[in-house]
Amino acid sequence: MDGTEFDIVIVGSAPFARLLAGWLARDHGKRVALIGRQASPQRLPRSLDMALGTATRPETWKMLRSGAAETQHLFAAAGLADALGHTDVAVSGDTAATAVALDHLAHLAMGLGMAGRSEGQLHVFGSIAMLRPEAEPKLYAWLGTTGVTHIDSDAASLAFLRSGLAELTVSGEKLVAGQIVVADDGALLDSVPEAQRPEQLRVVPMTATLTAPVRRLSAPLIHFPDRGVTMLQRAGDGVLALIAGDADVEARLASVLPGPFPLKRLATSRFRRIVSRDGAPLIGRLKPSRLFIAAGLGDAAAFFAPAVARLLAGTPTDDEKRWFAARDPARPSRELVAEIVP
Amino acid sequence: MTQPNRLVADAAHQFGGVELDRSKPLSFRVDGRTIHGFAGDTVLSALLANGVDSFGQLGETPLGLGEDFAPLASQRGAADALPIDRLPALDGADLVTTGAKRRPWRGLLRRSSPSLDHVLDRITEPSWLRDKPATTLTADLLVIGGGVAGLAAADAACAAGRTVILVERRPWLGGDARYFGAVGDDETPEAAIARMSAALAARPNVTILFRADAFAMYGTTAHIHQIELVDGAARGRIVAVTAQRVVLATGSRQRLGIFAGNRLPGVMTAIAAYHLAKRYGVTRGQSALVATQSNFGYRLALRLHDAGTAVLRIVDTRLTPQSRFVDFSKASGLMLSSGQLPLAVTAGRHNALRIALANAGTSVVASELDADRLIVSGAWQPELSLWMLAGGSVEWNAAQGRLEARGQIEHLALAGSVAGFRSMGATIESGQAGAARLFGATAAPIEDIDIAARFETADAPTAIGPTGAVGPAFLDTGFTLARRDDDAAEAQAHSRRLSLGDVAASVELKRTLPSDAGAIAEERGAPGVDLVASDWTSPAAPAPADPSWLTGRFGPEPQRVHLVVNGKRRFEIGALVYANTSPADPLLAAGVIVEAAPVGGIALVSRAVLKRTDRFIVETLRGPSPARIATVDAPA
Repeated sequence: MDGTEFDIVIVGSAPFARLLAGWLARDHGKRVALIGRQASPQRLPRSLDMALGTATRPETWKMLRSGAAETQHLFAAAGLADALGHTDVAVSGDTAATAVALDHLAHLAMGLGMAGRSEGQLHVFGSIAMLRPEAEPKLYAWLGTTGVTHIDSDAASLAFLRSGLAELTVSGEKLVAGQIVVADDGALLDSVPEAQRPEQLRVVPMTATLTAPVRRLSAPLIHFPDRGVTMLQRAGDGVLALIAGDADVEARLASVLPGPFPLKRLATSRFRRIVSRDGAPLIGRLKPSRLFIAAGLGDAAAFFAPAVARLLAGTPTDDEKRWFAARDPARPSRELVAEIVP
Repeated sequence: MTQPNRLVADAAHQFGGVELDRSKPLSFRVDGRTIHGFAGDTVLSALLANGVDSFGQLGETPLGLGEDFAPLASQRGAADALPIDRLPALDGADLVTTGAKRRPWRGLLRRSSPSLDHVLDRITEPSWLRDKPATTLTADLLVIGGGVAGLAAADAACAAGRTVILVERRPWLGGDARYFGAVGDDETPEAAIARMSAALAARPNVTILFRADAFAMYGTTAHIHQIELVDGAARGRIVAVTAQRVVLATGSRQRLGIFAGNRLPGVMTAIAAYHLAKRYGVTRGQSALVATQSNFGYRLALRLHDAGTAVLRIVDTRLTPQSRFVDFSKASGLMLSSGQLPLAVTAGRHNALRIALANAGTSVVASELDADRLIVSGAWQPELSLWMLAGGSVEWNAAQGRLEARGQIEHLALAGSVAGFRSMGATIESGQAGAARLFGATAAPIEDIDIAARFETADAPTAIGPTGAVGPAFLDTGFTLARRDDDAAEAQAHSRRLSLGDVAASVELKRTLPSDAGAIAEERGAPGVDLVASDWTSPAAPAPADPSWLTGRFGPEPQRVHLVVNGKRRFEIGALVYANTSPADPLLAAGVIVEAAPVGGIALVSRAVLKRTDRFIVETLRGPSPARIATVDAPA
């Protein structure tokens, strides 16, 4: 790296990490390095990046809505319009507890002017922004135009000194960075030992699986919080499903698929995801390492990138400042930000 | 001549077919056409001997029949469809292949066609993949693969007094070892296989299942589809074999080079050409071109030449390769070209192939040849499918250009070439060591010494022809049919399985990151069992009286109040409550309906707002409604 200094080094390979790097370089003039790797297109996705979370806090919805609009403008300006689509997303309230929470979500969405409808125990949120995985290569190409320095994750290593400080080396040389951001679950799991992670975070085993074609789902994308299943019907009518937890994975998935059975699976992968125990994200500096983490954002992470970029650049709005302060890992009480935890 | 592609019975190197009993000719029918063969033939080998070597067409491209790309067939009127590569040819059988066919009304034309005429866009999957086992067998050790490593593992375990079940896909033992021949003064593969086979035959504690394909692994149980002969008829059965220890000796699969037309009828791997000749005396036409990247391609070419095939040229991607087989080939008068590779293959006249060759690194046709066969001696990929189904991981080895096993599985051992061993001695030792390790014994380290390596040119990476040539280039043999020109969207659709060979080719084409290759192979190669209908339901979770996610939403200690309007209307849970002077912005909501009531609804409302007003607007899904307080409950 020849002593190159960066204002911010972002570690992560998920869309959130890439967008965050791009926002910081393009809109905030930061010298940014992104340590990560572009996944081969043949790999199964590990997230469905959409601007919808199971959040009951209106300030979170507003930030997400704003992030989706900013992302759309960015993509349009960068010639990436086809990297973003819109789709209907259904959420199912299988238990009384989730059904009540879903009633609250439906009213919040309506209050924000979003389209939606209820169908039995499903509520369908209309026209939710979603990143198209097939546009990933274009996103990478765009990143190159923003001045972000890309470093392959194999060349970099993050170590913790006895003092607890984190130190980043690339190809054997210490990297000088004003701020290191651990920006996705994979990076957090790989580079931050469990003892250094906030107690609020827990690791959830995940399964991604793609089925052979099934009958038409009632919405293109359906989330079942109580079953830990999210499924997306793809071109050709196969279903890409993300299943949380490692118990009864097949039974939980099959319980929400319309068949026909037996149903062949075309691909399956297993990975881990980090969630928070209270359902709310943790975003901010991790003491004493001074690493900045953004964890527990779930499938909506990419759309928080514009606001997180402003926070890192020191230019958040007053609302954003309050929102981040309430979700800072150092904050002792999180009662006021707790979200739905199925 | 009814079997135009049959070599003479006394062809050199036993290329007349060691499985055949030429004193017992037979005939049978496939899709209405009469096929002639000999006792010992499989349906596939007899079809190929009769000149039927095309499975059908994928779009406009005809694809060749082969051991790993052949249809199922059933006796007319019966339901038991069996793979023709394992199905014995039986006199008088009347078989129908399974799957959609083109021009089904042109029966007469089809009888003289070299194609089974299947529509390969819609290939039927074997129904037995979902069948329940008819029989369960148990043993101390299950050995999958009857090559030299599997034989050695089975023999070692039997000698130690263990019960063993050995599963072999083909109707004969020995795997691919004979193809490579002996090195120096070592025991020949033929002798080693005969020795170990005889030893096993004398052992009472081993069961060998031939024509048996292991297709699933569930912990310590493997599911096997076996074809057996019962009362002179072939039938399939699913056998579950349960063993606390398993040796996987599944060998390696030879890959094709990547060039246009690499799956046309008449294009085949060297190992396929070798087995067809050696076991069944099957060739194709009179002439062949051998394209190789390794020295063993020359060895096969020499043997085919000795057996009467006109070897028009041996084309090697390596520049001036050094090998004893190269020297022998020169001495035999064979024409050699180094630094060349196939550019494209198209169908020529009279069932021949037109083969365009290019100098390595160029896309210009250097020469063109017509030959009846193109034999490709490609790279080898360890057959790790069952390893992955058992939960094993794989990773890309860039130096070897192949996916290899990573890590260990406690009850399972890999042996032979699937574990990366090359020499026959090491392969045998790895089988013995694998069996020993599984039963808690220690085994000596295995030395895999390639004596020839010091004097001979090493294998080259997979030959990859330039893009732009006419016709599709497939990434591998077999049923996955992944093509070089599949675009990124197709790759991301994950709509088909990928073989290990497909993934290896994708890495070599720089479409897949080497670091992702193992994960992709596992994702596609071990996708898990089929999903069956499920009535799983979420454990009951009653609605909480005071959900944590409402904490602080409406200030400290919000008040529960009963809101009503005109005595009839009910407010649904979740409806936001606003002071009647407030804009309807969820951030400014004063409260929310948290409980249903016979009229109106129970709301949680900010105390600060309650001090200012008792008039509210409730934003329901049907529109806004005025509301007033009927009763005030205790603080929430």
